[in-house]
Amino acid sequence: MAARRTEPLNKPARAASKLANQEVLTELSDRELVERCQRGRLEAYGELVNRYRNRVYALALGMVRNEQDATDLCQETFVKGWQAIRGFKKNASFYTWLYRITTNLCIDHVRRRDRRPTVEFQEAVDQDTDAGIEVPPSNQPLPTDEVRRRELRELIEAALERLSPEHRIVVQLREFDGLDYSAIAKVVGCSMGTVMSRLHYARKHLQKLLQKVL
Amino acid sequence: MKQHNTERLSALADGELKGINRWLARRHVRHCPQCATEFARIERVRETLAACPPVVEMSDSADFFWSKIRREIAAREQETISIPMPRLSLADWLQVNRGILATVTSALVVVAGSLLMLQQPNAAHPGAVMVERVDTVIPNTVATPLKGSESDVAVIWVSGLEWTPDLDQMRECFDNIET
Amino acid sequence: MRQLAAIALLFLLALPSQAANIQVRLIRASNDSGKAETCLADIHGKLKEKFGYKFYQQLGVRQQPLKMGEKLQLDLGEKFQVFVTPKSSDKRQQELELEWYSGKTLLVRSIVKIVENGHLFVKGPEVANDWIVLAVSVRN
Repeated sequence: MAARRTEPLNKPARAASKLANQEVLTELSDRELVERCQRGRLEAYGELVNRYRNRVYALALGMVRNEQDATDLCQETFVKGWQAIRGFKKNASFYTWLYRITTNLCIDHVRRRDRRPTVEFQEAVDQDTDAGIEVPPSNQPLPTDEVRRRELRELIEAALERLSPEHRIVVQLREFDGLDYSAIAKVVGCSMGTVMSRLHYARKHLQKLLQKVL
Repeated sequence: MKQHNTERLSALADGELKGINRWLARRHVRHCPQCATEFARIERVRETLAACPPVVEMSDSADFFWSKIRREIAAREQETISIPMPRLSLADWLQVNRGILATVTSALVVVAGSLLMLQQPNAAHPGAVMVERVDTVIPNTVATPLKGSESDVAVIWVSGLEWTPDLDQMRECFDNIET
Repeated sequence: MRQLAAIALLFLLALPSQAANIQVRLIRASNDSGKAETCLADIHGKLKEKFGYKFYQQLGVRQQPLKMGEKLQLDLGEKFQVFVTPKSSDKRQQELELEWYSGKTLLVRSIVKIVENGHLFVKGPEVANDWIVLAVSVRN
């Protein structure tokens, strides 16, 4: 009779279980994840962090114009989010709430710093010309379409950088995050009329900056 | 849009205008070349941005970033904070919830009107009392409906009845009348 | 859903649907202070406005519920009688045929529409320095 091989079987079973848990978390909605967080399950919060970290980072970067500061503020956003998750009302939108935390932190940071964001961003751009631009992984020549897309993206990013933080944020939240005016108003802490006005003038500005490609 | 409110063009392009406002804005854009041009430009900006959204990624990897957060959460384990939910201003909330507000207001009006109607014991109905027809068969007597200023009082004036000094004689008089 | 419909039906049936009552008062209008009445306080002002006398005495009063198509006989005393025949009813408005008799003699016949708390006054015969007035109203 062969010896019972229990030990080798346990490790794959445990790994499979962990993988199954991760898969389950990725399939859950934000609301379901928040419910688990409110019951103290930190791994559920990890999934939320994974989902929103780049968007929160983009929002912070748009406001503070410094990558390191944006990373720190992004981290602070998620830490504060965990500390306050028990008070989160499930009928509200989680990402609106998260963005609001980010905006408030960034505003406080900019006020403390008391420097003009456009100048700072220009400095950051000079230091790292590839900031925000996707680097292709291979050395093979790029197809023409891909080159064009890359050039267009660089132009768009350069144009967005010329906007004031208030205008850039509303463009980002509307065009890239798909928030409606009421959600943007909640995140930014202004009226819907202000959102409409800022968005309109941001677009007019972008229209001038992107004349060549429009 | 009577005065070329160009800001609303952005709202129109974003689908934020509803109902009659959207209809009016679309109609204006159809008939105003200036606003039509502006609207087309806004649409092109939106399309361009949507075609090539900036790719912004954190330099930290997902695992590294999460490990930093976990460490920080553990360090502040005893702290709890309260962050208020983001809210709209009252004016914006009313604008966003126009439908609910209209429904609730209508329901309140219906309920109030019903209560008012059920509790109207003393209210005078316009044109409350009307004399449709009047006549008298006693000879040399005329019965006339009189028009008054009040709608809840009507008067019929009977004239020509014989005068009597007291009620007894009045009864006797009427008993003897031939109609 | 059926329960809801049943409740709604009960509610509708329970809505005010009491029979209207007709009230007829026989009044003597006079300037003689000895003939004042407190029971006419509700219409005293209107009587004074229409007929000008200072004092009003109630000689008789009758009140009965109106029934469609049924002729009512209201005996007011002093051999005065009023016959009331409801013709039609429209929400709170009653169409009535009125006949005012002294004994067997018809003094006046009229078809009127009266709403709840509306008044019809009929100026009748003159007795001494006074007038005999009929006051008709509909109440719930």
